Amino acid sequence: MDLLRGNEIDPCAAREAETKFTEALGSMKSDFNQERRELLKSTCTLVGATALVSMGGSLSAFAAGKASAAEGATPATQAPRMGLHKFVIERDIHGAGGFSAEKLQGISQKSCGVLKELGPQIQWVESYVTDDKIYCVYIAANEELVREHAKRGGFPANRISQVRTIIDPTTAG
Amino acid sequence: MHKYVIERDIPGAGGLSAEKLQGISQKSCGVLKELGPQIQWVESYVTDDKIYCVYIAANEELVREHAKRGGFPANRISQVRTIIDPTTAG
Repeated sequence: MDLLRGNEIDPCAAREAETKFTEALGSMKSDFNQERRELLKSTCTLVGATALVSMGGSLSAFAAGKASAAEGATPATQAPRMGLHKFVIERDIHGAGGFSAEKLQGISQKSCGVLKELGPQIQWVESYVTDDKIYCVYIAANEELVREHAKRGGFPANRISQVRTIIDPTTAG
Repeated sequence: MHKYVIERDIPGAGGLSAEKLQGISQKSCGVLKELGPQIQWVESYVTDDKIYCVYIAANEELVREHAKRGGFPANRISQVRTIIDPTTAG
């Protein structure tokens, strides 16, 4: 296109050039915007993918946790864990304080074996072995499970008391 | 020092209010302060009609003296020979 004819500007050619310039600019802008959109899209995809990967990781960890939890469970214990209580159990065992380490290990193994059968609704916290009595602290869904554990293990359970609260020197305030 | 489990028969213990339990704890700590570092209160499990207390003390006599001065029953005091838990199974 010739804008100049002699020394004069051709108004038609000028208008045409202006239109083309505007169009070209518009197209450049549009390309730029398109590019931005593409960039944004790929970034989003990348972020999304990362999120999915990490989410996938958590999901598989969750699934693995569920699977391992399910492995040790028996039908009686598949109910959701809720309402656990702490219990103190008095077991009158003559001469307990004099038991050998091997004997205590044997008792502990027997206890743990029964606990495995009963599932996660009952847990053994610890036991204080005294001369003629063992005081056991358990966490269980109910007293019945504590009785069942004692029955299956062949342990006495002379008194089972639900712990209402635990106090210590900090309770004095 | 030895560890002791003390049975205290207290009917209705499980229903005591937080204020009442705080009062008992303050009384206990006051007596312990008098008796010195040879006796320490570890913790107590409050059940409906009995409180099971775990103490560390040089001897049973100090546990009795603490109960006497504090006005707490001490129906049975047993020295802990060992403590076992699931790790004892090996």
